[in-house]
Amino acid sequence: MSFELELLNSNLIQKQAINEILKMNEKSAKYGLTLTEQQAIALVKTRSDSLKNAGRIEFNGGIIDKLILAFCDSPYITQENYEDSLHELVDIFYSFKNETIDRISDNDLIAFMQKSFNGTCCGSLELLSARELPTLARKLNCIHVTDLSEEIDDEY
Amino acid sequence: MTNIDRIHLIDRSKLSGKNYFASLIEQGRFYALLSDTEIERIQIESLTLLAKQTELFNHGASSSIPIEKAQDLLASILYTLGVQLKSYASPEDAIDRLKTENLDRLFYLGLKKINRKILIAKQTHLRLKRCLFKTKNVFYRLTAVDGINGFFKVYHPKFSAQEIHITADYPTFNGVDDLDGIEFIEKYLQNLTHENRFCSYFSEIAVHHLLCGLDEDYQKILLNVYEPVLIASLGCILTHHAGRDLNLNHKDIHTLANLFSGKDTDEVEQLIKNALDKLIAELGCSSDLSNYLRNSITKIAVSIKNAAHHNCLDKVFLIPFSPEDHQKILLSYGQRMDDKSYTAILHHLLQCNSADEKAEIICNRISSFGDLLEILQDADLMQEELLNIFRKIPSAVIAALIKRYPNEDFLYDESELKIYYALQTFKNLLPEEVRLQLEEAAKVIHFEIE
Repeated sequence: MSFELELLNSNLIQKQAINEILKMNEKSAKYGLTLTEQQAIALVKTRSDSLKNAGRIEFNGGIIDKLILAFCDSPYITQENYEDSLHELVDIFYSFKNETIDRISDNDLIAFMQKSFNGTCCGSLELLSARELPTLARKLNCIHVTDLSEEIDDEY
Repeated sequence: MTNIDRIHLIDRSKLSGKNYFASLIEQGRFYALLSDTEIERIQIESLTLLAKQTELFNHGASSSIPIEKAQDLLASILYTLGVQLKSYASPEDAIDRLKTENLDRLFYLGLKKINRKILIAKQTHLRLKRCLFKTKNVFYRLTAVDGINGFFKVYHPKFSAQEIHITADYPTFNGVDDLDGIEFIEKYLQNLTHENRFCSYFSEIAVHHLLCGLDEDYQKILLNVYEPVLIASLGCILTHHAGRDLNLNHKDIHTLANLFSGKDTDEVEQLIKNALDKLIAELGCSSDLSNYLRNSITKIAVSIKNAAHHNCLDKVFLIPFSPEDHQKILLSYGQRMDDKSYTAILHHLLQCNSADEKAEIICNRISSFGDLLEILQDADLMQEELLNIFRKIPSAVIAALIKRYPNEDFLYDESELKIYYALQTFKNLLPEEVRLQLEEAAKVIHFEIE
């Protein structure tokens, strides 16, 4: 048996994540949104793929429950588009976690996504991923560059 | 049964110094000391530990982490566990602890041990710096002082305990191959402390002259100082000098060659061991230093045996060289001509076809060594033309050129390579006596920095 990361990131994590997603039904049900076990499994699969694509790893239930909590009261999300939206939101989340080079916390990124989605994006996930989040990433990078040039100025 | 009676199944040589934890689990499984269920439990606990460390690393702000960072964190966890597990009396005892203790607890204890090791290593380093042997070899001080200081500054055992971060450029005689992180530094510092203490028994100037015997520019060479000093002092004992003197001469090398002639490695080792006992007594070495010296003997015996076999003992037993006692000529590149005059001469050279005329121009119109070097490169001369010029310029200038182009290393410019090859041809055409004189003269020439 090995202690390689890939092996450690086993079914155990997947099972934990599915349970956490299903638990969120209790909270989302009051907005008319629920997920079946199959849908939860599919979401966990999306999470695994997104993490893999982003070159990242996660050890607990992850952010799906947080995304559910943040988006379940959105006027733009219905039971019909609930699962699809979550798939996309998961993918967008990890992709932008990398884009922002981990300079923003999970909670802050989800809060920004929620605010933009319900606000300027009027429920468009396309606008969220193609306009709002890249703008945020640029702003964060600018802050970093400014900090860096200030540091260089300080040195000389 | 007490621990003494315990049967030890695990072969310690199969345990890795760097990856102790993983190799211990592997051996434990192989000898059925750990069941699959137990290993699975250990895996799950290490995963929990990784999740916990990831959260700490992210300050609780992110539940995911880039894979590379997670791998580093896992390597750090396993390293820390390894440090703790190495501390038990035997690998079997370590496996018992793995069975009974939570990994979290073992990790905590390992981290405590690492922090203690850091404190001890810092003290060792402080003592080493206080009495660092003074040698002109730049790598010695650079690693022993600056490199190790750098390690302590950037070492972060909580998240990257296995990292070394620095390149320990200066090579200790006994290498440190199978350790990482603080364990590497700890061992490296121990080795360096022993070697430093040994070198400190000898005068700095004697060691300087000894190393000049190896190479006058030893200051900039990545070499181990302890080895030639130890070998030379052993050579002194074997030729009935005081071990501290380090003053072997050609006659002594001849004596040593007779002594080692036809001996196999074991016999050489025995002779060296006897000499070392005398040296230890002469110097009054402490027991830990004596052990370090004794541990060096096998490697040294092999070098001596091989050198004796190839009739080149003087490459192992160095003969001191005192550059201060030898003539030194400081050569200036001279007053350069102005650009306009230089361009005119160069233009003239490129115009004329006769090799003799070119040689005349260079000999009569170039007066500084700097201009000569430049014109030889710029004038696009053929080998025959270069040889013609060499025949006409004074021997002292040839000696300076030999010094300037001692070998083709670092000559990447085609024109410089052309000069070098022409010079070699020219030297080979000279009578041997003249050639040797020129080479001797070149040795004492030193160029002024431009």
